[in-house]
Amino acid sequence: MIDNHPPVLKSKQIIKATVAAFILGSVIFITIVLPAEYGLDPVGTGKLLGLSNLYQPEVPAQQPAVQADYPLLKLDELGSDPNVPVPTEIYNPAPVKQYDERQDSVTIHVPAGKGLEYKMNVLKYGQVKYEWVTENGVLYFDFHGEPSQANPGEEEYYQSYTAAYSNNVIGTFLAPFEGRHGWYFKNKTDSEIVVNLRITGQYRLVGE
Amino acid sequence: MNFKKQLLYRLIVLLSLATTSAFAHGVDDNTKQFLIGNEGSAFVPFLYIGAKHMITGYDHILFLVGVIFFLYKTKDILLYVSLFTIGHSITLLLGVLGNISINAFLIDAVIAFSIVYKGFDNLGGFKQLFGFQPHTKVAVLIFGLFHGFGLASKLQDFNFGKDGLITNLIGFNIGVEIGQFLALIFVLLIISTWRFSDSFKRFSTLTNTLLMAAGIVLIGYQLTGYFLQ
Repeated sequence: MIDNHPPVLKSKQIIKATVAAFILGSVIFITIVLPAEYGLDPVGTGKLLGLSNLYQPEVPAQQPAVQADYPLLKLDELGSDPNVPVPTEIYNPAPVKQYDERQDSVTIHVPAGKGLEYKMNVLKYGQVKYEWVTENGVLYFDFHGEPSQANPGEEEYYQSYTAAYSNNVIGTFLAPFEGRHGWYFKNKTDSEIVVNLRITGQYRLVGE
Repeated sequence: MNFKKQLLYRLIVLLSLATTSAFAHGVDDNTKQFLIGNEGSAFVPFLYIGAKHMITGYDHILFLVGVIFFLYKTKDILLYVSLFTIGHSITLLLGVLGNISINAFLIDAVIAFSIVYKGFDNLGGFKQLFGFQPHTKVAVLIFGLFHGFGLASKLQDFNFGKDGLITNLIGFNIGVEIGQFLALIFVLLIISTWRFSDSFKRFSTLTNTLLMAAGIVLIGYQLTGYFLQ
């Protein structure tokens, strides 16, 4: 017959077992669990045993680059007011020779709550490829162009090509008319946003 | 005697199962994705999540090991496990339905403490050192209540919709019991086989000491998590 009753231990044995459990538990906790789970290394065992490498700081869940709660953009907002007359210059023929190919990388600082423009001169049917990405946050942008005009009216005519909220856009562009084309960036956040813009193609930078 | 062979075989089976679910306490990323995306009732998925949580929930299992360690009558095992089940079901349902939330780290620290408690109890510590024996059945029920809050906090981490809440909750609860039952089978396989060996008596003190040590590691783990959160 098997004796199933728990062994009766002496007080001394129980104390010994309990103390041993506390010491063993504490040692495992301090030397192994702390470095592996929390990256804390009070006695240097994490580094010694390579356990610290296991620790991965928790990354906050990745926010979607563009959140759904940005204002909805509507077709009516595209371009200048419909009452602004369309300049006849946009119907001019394309030149035989485009501007020389070039490429640029520029950094644009858009202050908090402010908007600014970055423009390039492109001849009719000139081709440009571009890429821009912010270092921090989402901007409203309007990629648009204003035709060169002999006698500009009071309100300027412009065509919007793309408008959106984003932190990163790439694209190609075939200028529909000769003029200044580029980006209006509006920073609606509380901190400065830095945009890194790369352009390559048949253009000249405005101001050159 | 082929006792050793048998034990070894059972250990291998157990270990091979354990490795597939090694570091998965809490809820893993895929499950998390499901829980966040879930709307409406999904009985079977929640059943699965509950069972998986229990099978991979080493703290619940260690506590059960402590509880059944010196139980050898089927009747006793059923009684104690039922008390534990009643305890954690009450607080799981109450916690989720009543929207009672206790910090998950703190509740998990209490669950870890229950392991230390049971290990100490198994050593006869209360009777021998303090001169009294806390009611073991009541203790299992009370710790069951804490384990239930722990289960509730796992579900509450995800603000899944109110649609189908009851169905999902019951699914999760039944899943927990299925998982507990499966885990228990393996624990019982090992312990009941081992019980017929002389070494059981010799190593029972060591086993319960290790149980306490494991509980202490988990207490440290959870409390650190609480203070660093």
